[in-house]
Amino acid sequence: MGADVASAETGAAVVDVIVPVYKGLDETRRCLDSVLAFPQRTAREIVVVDDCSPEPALAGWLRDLAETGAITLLENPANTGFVNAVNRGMILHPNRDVVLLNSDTEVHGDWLDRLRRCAYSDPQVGTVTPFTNNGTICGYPRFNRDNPLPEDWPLAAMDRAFAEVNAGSSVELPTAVGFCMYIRRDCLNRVGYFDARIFPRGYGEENEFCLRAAEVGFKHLLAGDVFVCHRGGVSFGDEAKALCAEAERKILERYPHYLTLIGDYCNRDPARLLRRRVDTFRLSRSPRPRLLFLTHNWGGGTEKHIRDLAGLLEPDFEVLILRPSGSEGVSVEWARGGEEWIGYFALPHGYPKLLDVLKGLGIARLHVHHVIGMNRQALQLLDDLGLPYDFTLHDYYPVCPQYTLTLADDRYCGEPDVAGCNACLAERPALWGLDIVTWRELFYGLLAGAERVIVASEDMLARMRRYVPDARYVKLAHPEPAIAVTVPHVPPCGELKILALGRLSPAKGLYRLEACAADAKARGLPLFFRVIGPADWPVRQTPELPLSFSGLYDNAELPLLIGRERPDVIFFPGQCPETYSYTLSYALATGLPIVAPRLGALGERLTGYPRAWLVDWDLPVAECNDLFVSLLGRGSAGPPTVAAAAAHAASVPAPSDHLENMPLEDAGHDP
Amino acid sequence: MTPENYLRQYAEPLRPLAEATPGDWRTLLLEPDYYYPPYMELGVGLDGLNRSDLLALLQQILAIEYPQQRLSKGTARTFLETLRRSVDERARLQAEVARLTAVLDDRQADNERMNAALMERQTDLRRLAAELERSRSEAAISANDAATLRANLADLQGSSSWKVTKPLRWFGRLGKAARAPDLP
Repeated sequence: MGADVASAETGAAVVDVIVPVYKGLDETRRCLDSVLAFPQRTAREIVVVDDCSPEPALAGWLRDLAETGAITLLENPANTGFVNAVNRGMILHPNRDVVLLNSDTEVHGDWLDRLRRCAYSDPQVGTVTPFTNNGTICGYPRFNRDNPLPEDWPLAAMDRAFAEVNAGSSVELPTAVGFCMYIRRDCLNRVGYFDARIFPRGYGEENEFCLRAAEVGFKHLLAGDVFVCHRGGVSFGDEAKALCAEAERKILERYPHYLTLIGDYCNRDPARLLRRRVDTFRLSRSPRPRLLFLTHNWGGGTEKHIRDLAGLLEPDFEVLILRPSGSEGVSVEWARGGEEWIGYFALPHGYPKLLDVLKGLGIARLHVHHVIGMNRQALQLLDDLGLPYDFTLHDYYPVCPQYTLTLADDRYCGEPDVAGCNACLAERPALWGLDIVTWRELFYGLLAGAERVIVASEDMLARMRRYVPDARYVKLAHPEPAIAVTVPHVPPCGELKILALGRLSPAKGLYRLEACAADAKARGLPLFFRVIGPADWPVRQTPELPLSFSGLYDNAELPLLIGRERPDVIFFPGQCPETYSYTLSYALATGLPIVAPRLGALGERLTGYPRAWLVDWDLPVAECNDLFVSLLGRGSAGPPTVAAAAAHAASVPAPSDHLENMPLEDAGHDP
Repeated sequence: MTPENYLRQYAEPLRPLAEATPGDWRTLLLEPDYYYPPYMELGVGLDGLNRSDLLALLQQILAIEYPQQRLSKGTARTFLETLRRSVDERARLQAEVARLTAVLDDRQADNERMNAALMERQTDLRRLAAELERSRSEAAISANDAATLRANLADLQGSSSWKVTKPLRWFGRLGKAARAPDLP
């Protein structure tokens, strides 16, 4: 028998720790080793139910262990299913509380004592579940996600952190989660065992049990001071998802309010405070210097850059991101992958607290990426923290509140004089109600005070030097790993498929693309325009025009999506000077012909690309379409790889040079 | 620029930054509302309160908003009822949002499925158009060949040798007919 005689000093009732086993020798060994490694004040008996394991090595190891007296082994002569195996364990000693522990878990320290303390913190408690890395609503660091254990935080350290910062804390759950579940005997006596008839193989049985228990007044608690590591899906593997869906259907038949109950809990997320306490503890223990990024909450290329940069800095720095939140506030989040810590500060009254927290965290350096939408008070941080800072320019916001340098018609403004800018601002007032001179003075100070002003292109550098000549500029193109895009070759079919990439706003050429499609239709040209990405504003599409949009996409899928489209040409219809363009990197990787405006960073980045066709940004759409039709005539869909294009480039003049001499371009003009 | 190159240049001035010294985590803890986005603050604050805390909160609000009035048990009950109704209404609305989100997810899944199907059709269409084009070319070539052969035949039949040998072909046909067995 495995009853821990030494731990019976308090005379407390014995608790059965029931471990049903089917597959996974390594996981089971780790689980039982961890249970056996730590003596508890609570008397316990470890009951392992071998449900006719198909792995002889596992069955043999369990028998050997049972012979030492460390565990009580129940062997089913035939596989009865997970729920029957658990029930057999629970029935073994009908007076004892039980802990159901999956065989792919690991525990640490006095985990059982803490669970038991929580179970008896209130007479109405029926079950207690600990925190875990992989346990839906008990998940940590991220709620409702399968988390790996955070780097530098093995189980022992993590469990100690929970035990210290959340000692004695708990919150009520709508249901326990079965990976590790303490059940009081009075609850079992009142409610009965798991329903093996409806859930023979596992998944859902503990939820149904908890709903039954709740009906008769039992509570289910999440113990804030216990953390158990859970691998998940060992016995059921790929079947787990299907079993979950089936279980949910069965529960909803009996308890139609189940999803509402869970949804309400997820919306309220009362365990957030417990998680945030542990986050704060862990962040405070990190020896890595802290960097604070300031940015907007508009997503797009700026967000991608920040996430990429934070990912690169992860090994040596803790990056926090401050951004606008709500109408006047800001939020600060921990940008480490897999973390969830975020705090919200309403300004102005939350500013002192914000400052305290940032100082308390020991922020060592700032990096301003964007301030659009930001409460102006947040800029005060640069002075109040008194730290060196960098400023990366993702667009022309420091030069003009119309950060794309476009007029009300969303076309490039040509950068007029102060009077022209103020006339434009009168039409579309700036954030904080500033005129252009005051605006530029404000940002002049911010840029001039930066240790580095980082720009991603020579074009942007040249433009910015006209406005803020004495900032300490550094040109650093955005970091990007090698991108591979394979576009299968399709024999010409008499129609040219023209692809545009990314979210299209009017400044990015949304209306220009629509106009091209309209012209193609009016003149019966064999052109079809396709956009991988959404349209910012409604435009005419198929069947009215030869133009369609894919809608939102995941950046990681972009190479695959481009390949699936099998385009002939990639088109950048932008009407403003780009500062970098991530989507151009994908376009370059296709090796396909690219038609782009000679404006901004696009022209600069396409120099040397043998299949680039640089045109004036305001080239009339009819001429633009004529260019596409001429490409069709040239059999432009040719070799799909950059290597082939580069080889071709060695023997023929670059099309961009060639096109620049064509009369076609004379119709347009440079800004 | 490769990520490695970028990092090397970016992190250059960051090297002198000293390691952080572990501080007292308790001083960094925020009050609960700081951890919830602004739209959730009120609900969470109320959810975390028990009945007596709620009463105390109401007393505080009344003390600020209505300093001349005292909170009677009846008024408190009314406020609590109102609050309960609001909480129930919020739960109902959240359930509705969850339902609508599920519907939206379904629609988006449908949309993705249809997009994939559309893409497939477009690929088929392009392939078929290419095949059609090829068949047209082949038909044109065949028509050309036929026209050439017809012209050759006409040339041949109009030639002097064809006319000169006409009697020979007539005698030939006659001979063949004579050798042929009589038909029943």
